[in-house]
Amino acid sequence: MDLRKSPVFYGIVWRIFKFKKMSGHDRQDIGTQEQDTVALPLISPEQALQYAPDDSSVKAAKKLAAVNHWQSLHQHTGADGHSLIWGEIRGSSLYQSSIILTGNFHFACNCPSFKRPCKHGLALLMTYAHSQHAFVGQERLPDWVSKHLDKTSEAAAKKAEKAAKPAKVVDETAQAKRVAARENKVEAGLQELQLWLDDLIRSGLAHAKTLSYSHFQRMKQRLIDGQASGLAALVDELQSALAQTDWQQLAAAQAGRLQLLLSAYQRLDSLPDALQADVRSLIGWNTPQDQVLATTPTSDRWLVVGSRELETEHHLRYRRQWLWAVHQPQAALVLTFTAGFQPLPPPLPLARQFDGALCWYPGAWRQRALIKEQGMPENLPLPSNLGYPSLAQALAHQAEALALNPFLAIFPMLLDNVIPQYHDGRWWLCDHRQQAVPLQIQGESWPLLALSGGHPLTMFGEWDGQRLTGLCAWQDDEIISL
Amino acid sequence: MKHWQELKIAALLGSQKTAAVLHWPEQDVGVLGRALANQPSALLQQLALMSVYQRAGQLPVTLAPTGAAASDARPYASAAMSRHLAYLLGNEGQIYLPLWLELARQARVLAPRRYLPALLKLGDQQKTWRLQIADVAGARGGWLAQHNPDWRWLLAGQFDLSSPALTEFWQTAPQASRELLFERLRAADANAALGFLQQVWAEENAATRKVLLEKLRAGLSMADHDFLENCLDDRSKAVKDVAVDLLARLPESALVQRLQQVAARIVHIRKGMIVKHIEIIALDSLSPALERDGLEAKPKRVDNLGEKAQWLRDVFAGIGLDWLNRHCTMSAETILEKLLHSEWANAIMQGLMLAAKRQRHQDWLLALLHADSVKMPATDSELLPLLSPDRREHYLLAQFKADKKTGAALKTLVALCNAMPSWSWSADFTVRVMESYQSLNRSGAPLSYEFERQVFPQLLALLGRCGDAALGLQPNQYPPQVLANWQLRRDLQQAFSTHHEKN
Repeated sequence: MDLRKSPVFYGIVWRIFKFKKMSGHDRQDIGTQEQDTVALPLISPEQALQYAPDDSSVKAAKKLAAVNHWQSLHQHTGADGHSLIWGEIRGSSLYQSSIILTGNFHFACNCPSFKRPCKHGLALLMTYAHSQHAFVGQERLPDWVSKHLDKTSEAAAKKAEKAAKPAKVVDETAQAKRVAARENKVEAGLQELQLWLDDLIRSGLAHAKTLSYSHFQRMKQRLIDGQASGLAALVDELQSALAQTDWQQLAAAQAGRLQLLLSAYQRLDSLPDALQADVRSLIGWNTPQDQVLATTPTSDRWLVVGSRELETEHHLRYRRQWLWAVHQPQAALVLTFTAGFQPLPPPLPLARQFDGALCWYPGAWRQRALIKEQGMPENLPLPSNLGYPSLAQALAHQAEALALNPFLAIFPMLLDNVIPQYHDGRWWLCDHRQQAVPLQIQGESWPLLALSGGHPLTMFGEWDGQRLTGLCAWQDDEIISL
Repeated sequence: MKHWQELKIAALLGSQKTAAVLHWPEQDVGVLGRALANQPSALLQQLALMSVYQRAGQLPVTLAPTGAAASDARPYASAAMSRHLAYLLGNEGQIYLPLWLELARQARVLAPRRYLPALLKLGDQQKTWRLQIADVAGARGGWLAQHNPDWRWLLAGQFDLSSPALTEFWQTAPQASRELLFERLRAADANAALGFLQQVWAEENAATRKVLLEKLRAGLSMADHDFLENCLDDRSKAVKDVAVDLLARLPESALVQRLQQVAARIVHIRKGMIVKHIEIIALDSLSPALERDGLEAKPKRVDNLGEKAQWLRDVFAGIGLDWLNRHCTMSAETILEKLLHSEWANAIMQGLMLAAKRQRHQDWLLALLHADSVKMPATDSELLPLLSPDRREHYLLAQFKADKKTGAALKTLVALCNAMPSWSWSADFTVRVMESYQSLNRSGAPLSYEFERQVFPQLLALLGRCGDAALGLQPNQYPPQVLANWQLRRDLQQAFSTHHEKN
């Protein structure tokens, strides 16, 4: 490449000339000024890893995610606002990997791996996350990069075209017929489940523990065929509860939960409308997103307080993303699902705040929501005194919630002025009245202890009726995710 | 939760034994529970009731408060500094961590609380970082270290040296803490530290004595002489060896004087017609006094040296090199040239090299580096670290000049830098290394696999780590990974320099 033609060269020359006129102080500012003007999205290495299809990809990508592994690294911001990064890396041959950083990141690579993003794409994104300055700006796109860009915009255009087409006319009679058929199927499945559960409890849970896998599998299969997949998941939980160490406690509670749902469904018509919706969604009816988005949204400033990724059977992965309203304190849960090799989109950045409108799923206790409008997440000072002032208040609020929706499995708690304490071989969260509940920390507990230092902090976590699973904690302006 | 227990047992045994639980407390839940007893699936219904009741009625327990960390007067690192630290704590950035710690010490800021565990873990693995880590960990770090036995050394790193409890702490602290404490004592007041060492000297085992004695190397002076001289009579050979090594670093020590007297009987100057010659007359036997000075009567054969050769090596290692110059009335180069012809050359060279390293004698170090002979073992990586940086670069540049085509000098540089602690390269040296790399890379000559896969990546990493970062501000065609590293280093410096300006 002839360097004199390169815009980078002129950029540097210009800086040199400007440089001479500057004072010493200005001179040192050049680095940041330049970085601030770059309109490329900033991501953290953790966020980059969110795109990994599996753990082995993460491992492979980490090895390649250093600037000196790459033969070239470039970035480009187009006139229409799209931004791209690309790089070349030598594996068993020269691999060319590019990522479109606009919207949902789009990866392309000419390596033969069937995983997307492949390890090269992930490594490129990670390299970008921690060494953004190593990417050299380039105006002209190489052919292989433009091809990738064209392909993506074609796909986007097709999608837009499809969306623009009028929705299919719904045959209402046929739909009603389908709904009735499903109701009947579910009804039959539930009757069978009641019989099965009666039998199970007649011979006792101690006997149930000795039953074969297929005994539960048959019932689950029957429920899935009966289009009550939610119930099948509950049977599954009962089965796994029987395998735990404190199975007596867990299995009895789980059997109770199943029966509660069965009893509720039997007198569904007599329940309040909102609770009916809860029961139906637990059994397996989905609420279409359009229907949720059509409800009146709640506008507030939302603080991102944490997320948790989980996996169900059958390789279905999902994320629980928790938000906390700043003006009228309440929690909102946004669920994201994905299956197979598809990665989950990255979570909302922790501790950022955005103005947004959320629509609630129908239910007796508002918890799950969809984001209808979302402003730019901002990095504002962390609010204090936003959560519950004491554990007693948080637990009382949870009891209120259970009174409205007894099926509520998880209750989010944002607690002010609490101290994590290690006592008798386990972790506790203690409030200013010396009242404590068991605390569970999924990762390492040392950072939490270091952050607290025996002093109060603010913590967000999921309360499951027995213990609090901490998701994030902050003190002053320092925040950690747990 | 008696009722829940009862219900649980009923569920375990099955409803064919206990159809339903009839005893309920006199509360709302009891009314409901009893009413359910008459319904179909009574036990299940009661379980359903109880599963909700139990979740809604959880009560917190009362816990006694624990001690909290004292507050720190120094501020925490700014957001920009913390961002850097987060990267430097990872595997890739760790080489720059000592730089961050040093800058933080100068700026008098503390490491952010959330990174303390990661820092302490690294300190656990790397002893050399401990003092610096103790400095930025603050009171919060000290509090945290009390909770983990692996991190106890931090307490020694932060212990108040003016505290009256110092003597007790010094005498009772575990080994790791004591090493760190002694380093600090020695740095604060070399003489007082010697006193602390003498306090415990009689009771310690040989391994501890050796480790602590080695730490006298910092701030070594004639004040330590008498104590070290006594150590020559130590029971342990390891301790004695350290004492000999330290005494040999003091040109005025009795040991050096004694060995010089011996050397005077070994090194004889014979004046010829035109030039002077050096004749070596090896020792025939060993006196008990010499054995006390570290020479071994029956040493094992090392490096193909027999006992007499080893005695020679040990004598030359212990003499003052300036004395040798005076004794022979010759420069280092001339002495070396003459000695290389001696039958004892190998042993003497080893002794002289040790002496040059102990005394950091620049002329002798250079002379030894230049003395190129088959009788000299490859020693660049041992001698170069002790040369002052400018002399070191000068020496290396001369090697680059001698070899322009093959890149062997680059390979040597990489091997050298891998074997010795890095130093900040001067701008001139950085440019010359870069030129040498680029000309080789552009020459189009087919490079070996080793160059492409090992030498070049390592060289670029070195350029990024040690090269003069300010060069990146000029127009250049340097490789992007080097520029990225330079940018990182400049950003790091800048994060701290803006802090200084604010204060």
